[in-house]
Amino acid sequence: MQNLSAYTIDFVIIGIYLAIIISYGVYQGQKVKTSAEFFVADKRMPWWATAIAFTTLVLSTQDIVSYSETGYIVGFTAFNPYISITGFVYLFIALGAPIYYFTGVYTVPEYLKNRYNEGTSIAGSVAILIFLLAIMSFNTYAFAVLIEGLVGFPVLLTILVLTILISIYTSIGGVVSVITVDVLQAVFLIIGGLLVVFIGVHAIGGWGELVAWTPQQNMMYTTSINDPRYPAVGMWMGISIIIAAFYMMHQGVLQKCLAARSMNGSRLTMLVYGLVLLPAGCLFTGTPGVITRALVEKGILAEPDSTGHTLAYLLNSIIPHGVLGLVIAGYMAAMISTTDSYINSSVTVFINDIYQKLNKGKSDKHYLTLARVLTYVIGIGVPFLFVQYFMNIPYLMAAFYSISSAVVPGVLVAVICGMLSKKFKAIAATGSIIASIVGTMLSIFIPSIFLKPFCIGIAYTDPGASWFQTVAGFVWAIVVAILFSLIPEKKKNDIQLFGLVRNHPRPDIARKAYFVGLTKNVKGLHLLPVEDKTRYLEENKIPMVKYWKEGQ
Amino acid sequence: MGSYMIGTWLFTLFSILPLGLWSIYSLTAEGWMSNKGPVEKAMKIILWVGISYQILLPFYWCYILAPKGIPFF
Repeated sequence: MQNLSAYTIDFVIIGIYLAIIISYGVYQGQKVKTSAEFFVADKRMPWWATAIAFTTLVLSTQDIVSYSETGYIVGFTAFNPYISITGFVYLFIALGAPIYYFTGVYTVPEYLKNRYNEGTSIAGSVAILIFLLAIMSFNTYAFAVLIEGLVGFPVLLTILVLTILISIYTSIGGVVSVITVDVLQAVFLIIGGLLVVFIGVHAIGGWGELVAWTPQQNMMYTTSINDPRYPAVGMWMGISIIIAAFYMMHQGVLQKCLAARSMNGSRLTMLVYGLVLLPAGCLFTGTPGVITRALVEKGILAEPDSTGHTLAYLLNSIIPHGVLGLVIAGYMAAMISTTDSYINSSVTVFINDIYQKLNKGKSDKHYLTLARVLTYVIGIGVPFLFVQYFMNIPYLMAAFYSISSAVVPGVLVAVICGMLSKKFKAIAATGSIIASIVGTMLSIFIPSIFLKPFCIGIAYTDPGASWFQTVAGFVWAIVVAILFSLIPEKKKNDIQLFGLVRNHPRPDIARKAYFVGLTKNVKGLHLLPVEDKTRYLEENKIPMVKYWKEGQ
Repeated sequence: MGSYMIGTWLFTLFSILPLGLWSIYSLTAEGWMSNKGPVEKAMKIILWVGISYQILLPFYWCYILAPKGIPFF
């Protein structure tokens, strides 16, 4: 362990920061009186607040620590996912936003239940819950690794202390606390992140020196197709699937977007985040690793003891005490704002999609109380389970992807196909969810048979093969979806699918139907009376230009 | 060099371009392009600028910046 007395001023700054954040979260959370407010802030957040909260959800410690490692190994290529992959926001804008917003669902399993049936919903709930809990745990783990590298605190102790603190204000305020505190934390994150970059670039002698001492192959936009750790094809396919899933089925994303005041507010939230804030975010995440590598190449620093400690090593080497406290507070802001979102999202999925189905007819107060209790159970207990697994994998990004790849592809297929086509069957959706989990597990445990065929450019024994696990799961999901579509099943009719499939009705009629429904206290298109649905479907047959000219 | 280009082409032409064009098509079809609201105006600007840089930047980066050693500033 390091000499902790040298860090006194840093601990004071972090303590002040924590006091401000928790007090503010508790203050905001006292306004929460209903479960709707706890889960989606009852659609009362402005788009800019949801966009900032969204960014702090994504620009988390897991990204800052793991992309620092990536930046150290592959250089500027670490910027790529923040520029290219964010293009998957278009999927949400064109497909997801109108359906999610106007049906007013709280969770993806809720969508699956309405679009398909209870069985698909339960399969989706389990998959999504595992996904959320894995990310939440990895996020706290990544921050604990950073602290371990900085001052030598044991990983499990750091996780325990932080999860208790986060659970306190998340349980009190739900998503209102989460979003309002996230906005405040974004300020800390930006200040802390920029400080590291400016001090780091200054330490090496300016941007010109940074570029001069970065190896040539680390300046490309993508890695090589044969890179054993970050294979280009594997990254394209693996990241694309996971990011597409992130935008279309991620509970935290959905809650943030549903909290916007209008459907276009949700879209704008996604656009600002994906095309403006996140690309700027690669400065905080990838650059520290690039700086560390250049400092090592120039001979100013020795090699770090482990690539996972790249960021901690850089901070300890170039950031003066006092400023270090501010920087850590910024990174802590990122970790807290992500973890609180995931805790809240996990509780939302559990209460809405599992518990309420087993215990119907309870009061709103009952669900709210349970949500608060569950926040502590999930927030504190779950990270310890996952961390035992993560600690056995030396490569940070591989640890994360090996978990998320198992559960993501099947739900993605079920959601996207369900939104695109009225003909996609429940049995195919359920089958694809289960198949992707089974297929990915087989590729993890019997890679010589089930992973090898998917590895393009590298061997299945290389560390980068984990990128192709997602591809394996996705292929399994698609194949099973196609095969199961051939099984006869009673399909839902147009009335049952109202609002749940793209252009059924088209967005302009959906918007009108939604607001008319609100005047009757109906909070979702699929909940409208049959006669209303029939009338709107008749209007849907009129071409849009004619429809508006006739002043409908 | 060729093995570094494949990822760029895949990312850009097979992910961003089709999705970006689809979103513009969808939004146009629902009459959004002629909407004068402040939120819609902001969306329009960000969408066009975003798609443009996401498609152009990777190739500019690969074929012009990288061979020169990425003189960003």
